Amino acid sequence: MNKRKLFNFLIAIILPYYLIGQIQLNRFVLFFPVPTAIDLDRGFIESNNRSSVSEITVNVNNPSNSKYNIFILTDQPYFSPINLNKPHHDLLWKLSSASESLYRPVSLQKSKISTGKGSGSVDIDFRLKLGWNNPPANYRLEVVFILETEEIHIIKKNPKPILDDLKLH
Amino acid sequence: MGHRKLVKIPGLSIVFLFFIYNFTYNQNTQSLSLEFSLLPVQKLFIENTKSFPPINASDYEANNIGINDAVTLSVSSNVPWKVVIFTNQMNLYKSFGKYKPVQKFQWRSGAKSFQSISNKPEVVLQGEAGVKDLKIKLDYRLKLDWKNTPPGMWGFRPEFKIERNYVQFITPKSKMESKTKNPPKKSSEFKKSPK
Repeated sequence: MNKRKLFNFLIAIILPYYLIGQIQLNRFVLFFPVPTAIDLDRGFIESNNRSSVSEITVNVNNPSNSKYNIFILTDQPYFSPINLNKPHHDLLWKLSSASESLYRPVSLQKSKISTGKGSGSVDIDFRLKLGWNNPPANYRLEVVFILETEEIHIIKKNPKPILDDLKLH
Repeated sequence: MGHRKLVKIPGLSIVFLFFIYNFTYNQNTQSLSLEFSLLPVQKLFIENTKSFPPINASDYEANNIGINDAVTLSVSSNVPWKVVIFTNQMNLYKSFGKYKPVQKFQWRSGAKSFQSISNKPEVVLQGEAGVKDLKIKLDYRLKLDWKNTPPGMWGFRPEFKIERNYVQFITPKSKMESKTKNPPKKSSEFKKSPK
């Protein structure tokens, strides 16, 4: 293999990886405030209960400038400890910019959060359904954010025909 | 030739590391752990109270005056609970040199018999975890007699407290057995939890 072929081969491997979009969260663990009697009466607690600032920001770094979709899901049917049978759908999410009525349960299947192009970020609010029938414990549920980008087009889709250039001359 | 090899090896190593770095860190998934600690939470408040009506001769003759549903309590708890009643007072009032002891004030919950209030907390009702706004209604009664109930203004406010109940109910084996072999016993119906 000569130098040029080797160079092309390496570029072919490295470049797609370099252009793959990355998803990053501003934190890996989110602690909800300790629920009070008021929260249990109301039936829920929110991640930004004690402040107006969104707790979770999903950042997308997408150098290829292609379209992307962000999804959310969980693979745990129950919060841990699982013997307390607190179902995963007691955790709700919404975009911070959306109204209160748009909270949706976290699902075992992918749910689309946001769509965009290039790089960007979205703020997410979480709400947790609670009740007096939830026994005291340390609860935990893991959710996964997935970034899916469209196919990377290194070569232009509609290259300018060489013949057209010739015609102009 | 040897010099060329030395140049190639670090070069390929850098490419290899770059490849590994991209493969490892160019993730398109991220996990978020959501956690919360739920502590034992209990709530008790007095929803409604009624006052005793003015006492007349017929009440003295009956030796008491009572009011049904004198107080309504509301209970919420995410742990096993019990509501207790007690007072820190020794007397209801003093008049004409006579004390009216608090024991003359009685209470009952549901169909139970009246019992006197005291400085020692008595259980009004207890239950399992997971109750919301459970209503408890209490009847009050004041014992009267011509000799020891002199005229006078009095005001009395029993105190209520909700506590975590570390006592668990034992499910009875069957009604027939409980009637023939094990007649209900107040103390043996309960067993301390292993905790």
